[in-house]
Amino acid sequence: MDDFRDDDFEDGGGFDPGQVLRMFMRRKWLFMVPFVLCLSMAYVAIKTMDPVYESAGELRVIQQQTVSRALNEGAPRYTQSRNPDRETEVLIRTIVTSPKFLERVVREMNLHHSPLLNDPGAPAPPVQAPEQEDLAVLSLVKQLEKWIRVRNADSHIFSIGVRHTNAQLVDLLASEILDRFLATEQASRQQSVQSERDFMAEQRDLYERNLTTKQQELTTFQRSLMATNLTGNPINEGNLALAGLLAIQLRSQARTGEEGNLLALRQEALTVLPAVEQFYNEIKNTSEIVSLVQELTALETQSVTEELQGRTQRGDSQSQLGSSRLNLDNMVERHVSREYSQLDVVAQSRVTRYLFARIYQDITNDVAGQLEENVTAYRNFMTRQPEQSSTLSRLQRELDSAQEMLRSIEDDIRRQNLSLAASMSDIGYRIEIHRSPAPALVPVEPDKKKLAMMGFALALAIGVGLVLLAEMADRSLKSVQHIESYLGVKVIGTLPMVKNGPFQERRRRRVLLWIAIILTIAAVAAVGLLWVYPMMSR
Amino acid sequence: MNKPDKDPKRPFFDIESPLAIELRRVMIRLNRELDLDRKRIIMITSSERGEGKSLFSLHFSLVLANHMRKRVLLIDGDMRRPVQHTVFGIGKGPGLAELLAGQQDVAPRPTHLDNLFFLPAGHAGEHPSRLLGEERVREVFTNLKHDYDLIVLDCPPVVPVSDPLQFVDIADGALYLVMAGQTNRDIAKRGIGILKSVGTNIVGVVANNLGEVLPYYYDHKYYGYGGKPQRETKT
Repeated sequence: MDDFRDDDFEDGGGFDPGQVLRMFMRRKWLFMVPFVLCLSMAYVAIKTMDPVYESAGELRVIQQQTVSRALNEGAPRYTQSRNPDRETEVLIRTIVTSPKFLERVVREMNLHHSPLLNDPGAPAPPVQAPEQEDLAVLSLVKQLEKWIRVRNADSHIFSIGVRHTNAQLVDLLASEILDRFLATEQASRQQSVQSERDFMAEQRDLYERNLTTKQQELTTFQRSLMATNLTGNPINEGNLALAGLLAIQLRSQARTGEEGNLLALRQEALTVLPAVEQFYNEIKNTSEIVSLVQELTALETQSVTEELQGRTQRGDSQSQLGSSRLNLDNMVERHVSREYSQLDVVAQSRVTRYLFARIYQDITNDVAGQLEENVTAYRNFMTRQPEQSSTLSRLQRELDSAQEMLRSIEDDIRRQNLSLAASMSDIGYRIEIHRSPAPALVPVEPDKKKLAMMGFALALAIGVGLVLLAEMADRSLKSVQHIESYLGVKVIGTLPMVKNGPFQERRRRRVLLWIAIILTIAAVAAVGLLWVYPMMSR
Repeated sequence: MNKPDKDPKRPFFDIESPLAIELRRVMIRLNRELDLDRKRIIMITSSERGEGKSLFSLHFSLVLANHMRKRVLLIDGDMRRPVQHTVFGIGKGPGLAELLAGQQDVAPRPTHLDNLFFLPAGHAGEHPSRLLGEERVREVFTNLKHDYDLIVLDCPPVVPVSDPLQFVDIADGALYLVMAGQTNRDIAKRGIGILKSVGTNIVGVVANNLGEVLPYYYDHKYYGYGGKPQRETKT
């Protein structure tokens, strides 16, 4: 058996309100003493507190929803929060309790010299040194901060009040603070919008410069691509294989000529003119030969190009090629006949044929070399193409981004301009006085009802807590069943508690002792309330 | 119940009160246990102070005197903190202490009831336990038993002091008072253990203060016994 369980609950098998009531009746003193104490404390507080007056004005923040939603995108102050009234209240409190604001109020009202702050009949404070005056102002600013009350009275309605023991002073202060708040808020709002506008203009300049830079980078890169691309290069994806084949053929042709026909021609020329190589070196640098070689090289190249492009070789180009070859042959022949006139015609012819073949081999090599360069250039271009594409797209993206940022900031500036216009013309939202501060005729403190309710609630909480605590800590015997089961002895009689018994004298002494203790506690509490509560409420 | 009366002849106990009714029930049950037609010494004790021993002893004596028509003697056996004499408006002594000390000329005092007598605790000095020799106790109570039919002995509590144990041998039975809602269950059990350890005949427990713990007594008035006590029913 659990010794700590109550038999009545065991027997009853549930919650018994009557038992709870009896429990409270049994411990009624634990319940009554806190009531007496707390209500006494409330009474003492009501009787001893200085009357505090409050004068408050009300502001209304008017929001024009449609306009303000459009205007406040991005930089609003009253509509962004989920609880805009709370935000507004904090803003108002921040402004009206800021030291600068309060200092201006104190100085302009000359509050630190005001007789309203002194006891009635007391002499005016003496003129102070500037440093002392500053200290007095600062001290008053701190006090003033505590006197100001800002509340969210209703939806979009905010109360700014002042509490003090001087009714006249609170009226003056409330009016001054309300007016000054409106002026400060208006100035602050416009200044804020203007500074945001300036900042955005700077941002726009920055973005414009950024856009120009990006455009330049893109143009430069595109130009570099143009410079390195295949301008004049006849090679493309379709004729790349043919170009390679042609280059090989030309090289092979030059090499075959050198090993076969050219070698034979060279032997013949050497038999008639041993210094034929020296002569070749002399004439190939002459201007006429060089010019003709260039012409022939160009014609040969053109011929190869036409072949690569699949175009039919035109007759005029073929005849021009033949003519140029003939010119070259004649020019070489003239050089040979002029320089070696002692040689007979056959010998001169042999030397001429060798020199022509030698020069033409150079031309063939040049054409082959140029074709190979074009092939290589095309292949290199194809290899670099992905990297160039990536760079090109990156630059393009950066340019787009810069353009977007510029567009965005210009939109913001446009909105900001509208917002500034709205601020200037009170469109979007505005603050107006809903109710001017009224003279404080009746003190707001001590609030008898509030103090009595607080005392009652406190007493109730303490009383219930004490009773429950005592009941939980109670290890006494409470019922006949409990006594019999726990002690193992039967109960032969149950008695009610006899009141006012013959041994009353001792009981009376005990009661007097308790009364003395309670009175002592009450006295201590009353003294505490006389000093602590008024100090806390100021 | 009225204020303590200095005049021992004035009535102060309402015999139709819930307390008196309950005391009669105790008397009836005790009679079954101990056969009160014979000479008996009933010892009243508890585990600690303030559990209503003295009040119970006084009222129980009054009930016995009223209903048993026997010579009843109430003895204040608590020589350390005697209180019964204040009810009867007499001095603390001479009484039981003087008898135990060997003084022969000490006699119980009459009260406003003809068959109820009272022996105060007397002046025991600083060490009452020295007076409680086994032989002397037996001798004194044997003598008292010759003159009185029922002796109600109001003893001190058993847990703080050992004095009640000296009366165990001469008592025919013991009633153990428990203050419901106040007496710690462990201390009460300890008191029972002490008494049992010396062979006390614990006739039963009387639970005091149950009127505040149980609603049972509040029904009393509905049976026509409430209201103002009538003068003629007082004793």
